Amino acid sequence: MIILQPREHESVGLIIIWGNGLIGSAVTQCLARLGAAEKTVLPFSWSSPFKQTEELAFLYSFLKKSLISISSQDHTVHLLWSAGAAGFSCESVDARKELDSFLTVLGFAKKLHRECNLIFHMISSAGGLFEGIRRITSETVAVPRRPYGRLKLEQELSLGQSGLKHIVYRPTSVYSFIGKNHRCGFIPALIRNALSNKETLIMGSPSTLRDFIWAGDIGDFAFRQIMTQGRNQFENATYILASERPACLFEVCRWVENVIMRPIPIRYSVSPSNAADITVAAGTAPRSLSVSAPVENIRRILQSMLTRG
Amino acid sequence: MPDVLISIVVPVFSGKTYLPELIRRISELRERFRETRIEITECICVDDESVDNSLPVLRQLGCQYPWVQVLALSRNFGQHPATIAGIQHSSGDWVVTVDEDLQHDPALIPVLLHHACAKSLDVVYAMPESAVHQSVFRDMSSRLTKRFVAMLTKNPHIETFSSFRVMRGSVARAAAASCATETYFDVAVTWFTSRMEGMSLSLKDRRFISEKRSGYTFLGLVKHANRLLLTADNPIMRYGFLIGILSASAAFAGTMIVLYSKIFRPDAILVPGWASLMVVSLFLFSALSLQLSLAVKLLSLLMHRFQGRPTYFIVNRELDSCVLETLDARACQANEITGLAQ
Repeated sequence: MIILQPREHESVGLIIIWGNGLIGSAVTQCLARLGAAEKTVLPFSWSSPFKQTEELAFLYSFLKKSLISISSQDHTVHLLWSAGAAGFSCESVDARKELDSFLTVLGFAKKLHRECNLIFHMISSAGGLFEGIRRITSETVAVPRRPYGRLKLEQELSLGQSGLKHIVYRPTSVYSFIGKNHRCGFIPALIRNALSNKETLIMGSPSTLRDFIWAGDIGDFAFRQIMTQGRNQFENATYILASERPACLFEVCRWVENVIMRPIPIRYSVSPSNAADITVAAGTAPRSLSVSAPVENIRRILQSMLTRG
Repeated sequence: MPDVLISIVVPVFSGKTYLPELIRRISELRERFRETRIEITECICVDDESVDNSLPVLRQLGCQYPWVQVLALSRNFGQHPATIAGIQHSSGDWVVTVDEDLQHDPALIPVLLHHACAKSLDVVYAMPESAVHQSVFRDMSSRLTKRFVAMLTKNPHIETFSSFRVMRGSVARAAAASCATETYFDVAVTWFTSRMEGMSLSLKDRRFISEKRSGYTFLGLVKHANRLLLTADNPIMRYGFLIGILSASAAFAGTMIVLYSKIFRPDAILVPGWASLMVVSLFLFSALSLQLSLAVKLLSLLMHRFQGRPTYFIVNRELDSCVLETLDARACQANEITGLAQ
């Protein structure tokens, strides 16, 4: 996790980014652009509850000291949960472990809330919650189909019941690239495999519809929420973050082919496990979410891959 | 939740006066599908920088009807790019494109859809039974251009092309994704499916008939025809190769004749060197033609690659029976089908 302190914003005290993945790093970048200073980077052990207790105790004391130094009474601490070890296809056991870790962090957040004004930002998943549902709207009820979706729903419910001020973000299919050792989504996988002439197995069909959203756009939205949601003007909220522009996988492959200027070796699964369309109805995503052009983003991914490996 | 979703796409260029009526008619149709397994989920109106300021009207309609979605293009791109933009924002199992000027009555959509599902087609075009513009020049020029290009490119579907289409969503979106700047959308559709037909229906371009004004200018129509010719398989390459082969054969025959004359009948040569010059010229011409046709062939392969012609594509037609059942079950729609279909 990363702890940051914005320099020129009075209502924000500290920002804890829990998980420096696609979205976490995008928020960190936005904050860095504003001049936020990185105070420290701390580890979080997923597999060991004992270590977690130790790490949280250290974090608590660290935050307390930091809050005193910035006279925290008028400041808000934002905790962004953008972590996750379990992927979309995880088993129930892995989902359970991750839920336990989340509940531990939630307990920590409640404890911290007694010391300061805390807002919990949680990155959930529209794909997990609404798998197989076409035309998701803000009224659509989540009916998860797999452990990952149930995990996200459980996390949302636990957060709702915690009494903490919170904002839940439900992004659709997120794409970005932050390095070869990190988990990457469908689009970077297509590019990476095409560059190394490897075949990409697609668990859908060419006509499977998805709503792809750039991690940077989500990061930017979450960043603006962090910078504007202070002590007084706050209301719990849940946002579906989507481009509202369905794209079939065939089209996505065309985007990538046009950018990398070479054919992509593809194999479509004969019995696809993830072929159901997931689209979001127009007017569902918040108006303030700005959506960038996918082809430009694919160029950025390619550039990152070629420069950072 | 309905099983089959329909998206309607309306490119808008100068339809301010017709749009409220068009949306009202779509709304009526939407109501008729209520509580069935079919739903018109969205009507995507694409404002192609309309000349009559249609955008505020569209915005108002968008507020009035939540299923009306408005896209505003940054400049005037033309009817095809506007249609493609709309299709790329659609998510329906079927995508219907209609003109904004009431030339295409939305009440005919079930008829086209029924026809498509009954015959397991992927695309059905509405073709006018009679002269759609009631102007000899306008109707003839449109028909003749399509016939000429169809003949030239040997693509029989071109004659059925019309802007009132019912398309399987997956095919429509894939074709739209394949379109480059100058690609003719309907030709791109033929890269994905050959299951397409025209269906004769009563269509009239009321705007053109009453106002003698169309969304298209003459220059626009020429550009349209040019795009159609460029996107469809180009015959120049085939003919160039044929010309090259013929010239090479003629040059070879000429060489034989020249050699025969030189050896056996030298006295018959009246002007020495002339026949040899012709033969050499023919050889050079044939070599150039063949090389040019090969270059064009390679260029066309690159174009296919660039345009995104698929090696294969997969469609799911399993929901067609559901559409048929729903349409047949509704007595009023059944009446329409028997009454209107030809």
